[in-house]
Amino acid sequence: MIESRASGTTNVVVPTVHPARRAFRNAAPLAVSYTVLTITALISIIPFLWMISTSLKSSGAIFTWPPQLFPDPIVWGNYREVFEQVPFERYFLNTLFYSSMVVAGQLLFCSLAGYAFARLVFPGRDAIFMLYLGTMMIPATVTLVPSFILMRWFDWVDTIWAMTIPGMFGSAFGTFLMRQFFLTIPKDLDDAAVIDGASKWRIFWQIILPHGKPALAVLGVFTITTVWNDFMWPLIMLHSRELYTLNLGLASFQGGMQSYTFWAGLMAAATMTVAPLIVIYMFTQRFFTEGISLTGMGGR
Amino acid sequence: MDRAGKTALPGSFAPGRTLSRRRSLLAEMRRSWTSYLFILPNLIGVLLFLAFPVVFALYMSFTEWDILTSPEFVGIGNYREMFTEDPLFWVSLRNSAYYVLLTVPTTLLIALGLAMAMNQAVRGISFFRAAIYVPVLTSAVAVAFVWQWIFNYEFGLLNAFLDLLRLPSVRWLTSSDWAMISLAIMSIWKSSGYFAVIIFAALQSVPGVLHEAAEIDGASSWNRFLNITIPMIAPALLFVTVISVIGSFQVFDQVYLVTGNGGPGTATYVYNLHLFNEGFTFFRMGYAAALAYVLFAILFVITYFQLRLGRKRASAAYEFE
Amino acid sequence: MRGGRTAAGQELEAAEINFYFGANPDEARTRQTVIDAFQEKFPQITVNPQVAEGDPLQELQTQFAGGAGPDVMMAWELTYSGLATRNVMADLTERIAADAEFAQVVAEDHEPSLLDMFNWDGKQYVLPEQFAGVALYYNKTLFADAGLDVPPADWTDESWTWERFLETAEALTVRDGDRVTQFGFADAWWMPLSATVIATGNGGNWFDTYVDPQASTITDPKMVEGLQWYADLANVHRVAPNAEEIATQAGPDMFMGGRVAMVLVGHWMYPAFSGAEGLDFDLAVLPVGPQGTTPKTDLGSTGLAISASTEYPDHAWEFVKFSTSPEGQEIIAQSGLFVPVLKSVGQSEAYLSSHPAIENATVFTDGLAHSIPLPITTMWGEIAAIWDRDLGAVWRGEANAADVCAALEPQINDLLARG
Repeated sequence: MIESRASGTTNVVVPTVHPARRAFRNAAPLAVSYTVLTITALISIIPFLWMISTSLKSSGAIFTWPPQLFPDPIVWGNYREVFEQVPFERYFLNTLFYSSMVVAGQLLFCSLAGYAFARLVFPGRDAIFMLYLGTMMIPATVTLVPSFILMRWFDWVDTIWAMTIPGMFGSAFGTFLMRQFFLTIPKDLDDAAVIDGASKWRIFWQIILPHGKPALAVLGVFTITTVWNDFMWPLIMLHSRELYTLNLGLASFQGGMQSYTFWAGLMAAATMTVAPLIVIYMFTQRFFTEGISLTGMGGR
Repeated sequence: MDRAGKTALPGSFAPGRTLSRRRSLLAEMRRSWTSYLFILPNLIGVLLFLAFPVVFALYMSFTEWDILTSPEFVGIGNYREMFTEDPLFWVSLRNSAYYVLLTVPTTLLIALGLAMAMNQAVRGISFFRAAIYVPVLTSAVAVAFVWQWIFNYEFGLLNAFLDLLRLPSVRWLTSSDWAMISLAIMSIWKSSGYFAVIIFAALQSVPGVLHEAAEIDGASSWNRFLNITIPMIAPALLFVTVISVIGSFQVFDQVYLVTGNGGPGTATYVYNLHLFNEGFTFFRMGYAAALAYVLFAILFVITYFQLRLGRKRASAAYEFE
Repeated sequence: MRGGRTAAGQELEAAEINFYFGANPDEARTRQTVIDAFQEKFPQITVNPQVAEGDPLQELQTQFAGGAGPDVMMAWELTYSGLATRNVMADLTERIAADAEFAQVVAEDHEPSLLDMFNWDGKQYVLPEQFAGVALYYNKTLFADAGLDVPPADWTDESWTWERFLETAEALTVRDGDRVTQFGFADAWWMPLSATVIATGNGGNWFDTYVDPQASTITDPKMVEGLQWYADLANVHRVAPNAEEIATQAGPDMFMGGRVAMVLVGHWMYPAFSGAEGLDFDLAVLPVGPQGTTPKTDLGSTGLAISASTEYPDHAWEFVKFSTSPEGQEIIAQSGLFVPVLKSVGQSEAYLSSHPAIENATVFTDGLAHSIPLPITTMWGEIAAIWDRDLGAVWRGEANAADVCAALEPQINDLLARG
């Protein structure tokens, strides 16, 4: 029974548009939509294809007009040269290490805190949570300079600690996300366990966390993207090449004493920086986009 | 909801207990000590690495400090210098504002269009969603270099494309007129997907019943769009706008890498670049902290008005009930 | 007791010191030979090389600000004073005085003008290691194919005027329709400094004095003329790449690819150029402007300094001494890493024979006597920033040098006053 909310009546109104015309009216927007989507998909992907294509070209092939679409001949040597100039394997491992540490910490501590804010009652809970909301509003730039000083006090500048510890404690945003999600888990589940005499800890591990898997996946994927792609923090924190992240290594590839313009090499380095996350993305696509919706819905 | 009739739950789990006296507050705290354990690590992190730096930055903003020597208290000297003696402050502010104006509305419109297109489409949604999201998850550094090559005047893809259309080549990165626009193009390309996915999720949650009912009542698609779709996804739109403005105002990575020091001239010298230079190139950390606080204030005011405006529009949408 | 240096050095305990320096990949390799020679002499000292990534001044400041600076660092004439006054570098005056043998080397064998440059406020903070003035590299093949006389290699040759330079460059610029396929000249250094060095070739001066200047003199017509002439090469005469073209391929890459006939750059590109396939090149002097006298270059130099907060000052000192005394400088000359600064080494066979690819290696060693000093000021970072930015407009043809210099001079003077 279709209710017409606008008028508050419950009459069924006869459609005024001829069905055939209505079908066409639906088809046109559909065609437009698909065109728009296809064009956009192409625009999104073409720069990456161009990046890969350039990375495989010889320098002669790069400086041609009009530009060649496909590299001919295909020069794999560019990748080798990149590795000679810049230890990319090292940077990849570093980035993987920092990301894993931060993700592990975030997942654990944010879900613990999220559970507490969602389910437990203790003095100051709401006040502390307001503090969290407040800090989420602060632009990252504000914390940059004092954080540098803080790292200096701990003697963590240019060490792995600066790249892992601050992130490992979990962020306000992560806790917020977990709390929102935990709030949606039906309370009956924990109530039953409580009556059976389970402790908070057990409820957390055995009931809440298993049900929170989607949110955990989302937070994990969101965190790894943020850490992997971070640039400004490693830029001011790290000087020793052995500790560099992929991003920093890529940026340093073009810098140095002379501004060499080895485009093919630069594109090869860029490809290697971008590839790991894309591969991860292929397998965990669903979690990325679910996460986006979770953050988007906010629960304000 | 009425909990009457259910067995009373032990202390920490009971909702909505109010505490009136100090004695029972402390007692309450002691009883809930395990709850505090749950939030402790996270709270330490937030306090130490987020809350403390913010407060400390305020103190720093009143000093002249180059780290290698001890801080020198200068009161509001930094703020005064910023507003009266630092032309680059105004230049960078103007540039960042320009950048926000270029990027935010365009990104939102594109994202909205994309989301609506995805909403219409039946098949292949996951493919399209994946494709438009890839730019979002790639590092800004890689994006910067790839686009730097695409924007290349002599051999870049964009000028090649223009040439195909028999249009003159554009000095994308070396002309003060185009440099900021080029950065905006790069940003819009990178972020639209993220916002499109958010708005798409919001669109999907709009009950189809509303549209069908309105259609039966004879409402045109445009009418339905304005009066059903927009109001229903208003929270998501608001969120996207706020995040977009806050993010764009703080742009740094692309500018630092693509146009070097905000070139050509000061055409792309954005606010965060000024902050970075003052703080980490000239090591005037106190001044950089002051710059950060001014940014904070600006964003706070903008966000406040956005939220107020947004809430009004959202609540107005429900008035027809 | 045997003569001071070596005996004391051998008594040092084992230690590891960090040595920060700037170098392109080829230079880094050559630098390693010097490090290896030092470690052979002092096996108990391990030297960890740290190559600069981007801007050395910024990196060093960040490292020291983070409490983790290197023990020995390369120092640049333009930027060392800011670190010296902030107590990052150690004062070497007393160490030099205490070491009789080395003090003699410094007094007699080192070039006074270079030492003075690294002496701030009466204290010697840096010992010079190399002469890094710029000169002109030219592509012999391109000149031969065009049937042109090669540029002179003599700094006293007054015939190599701007006019002759421009004619030569135009003859060597090849166009294909609208595109330039071969340039006559390209800047392979850093535009703000290259333009200024060219302008000093016109008899102009950048500042009133060079060490701790108080006033800028860029509005001097000789300077303005020079800066404008440099910019016109790219924008008016089109014999040099403009902003877009340099963005596609930087000067050094162009030269190595045989796409440009003459480049302006210093000795540090020699290793890369000599390694480029099919590149037959040599050195020449910079052109002299109508208001100038004879060709000039800049008194560029880098040296070594010790961190004031190092845990191993004695070890660091041994390394600095080694690199700046005849022993180390011979190796430097032999390896072709730098143009050595010691008079005894500069004339030696070692330096000449380490540059087999060219015949005019003396262009660099002779240049020392024909160089104009660079400004030594603690405000260099800030001054360079606005100099780069505003001169860029001239170079892109968006403004003319006279206007920009007039607008910039008061700003620079303000910065100098602040320092």
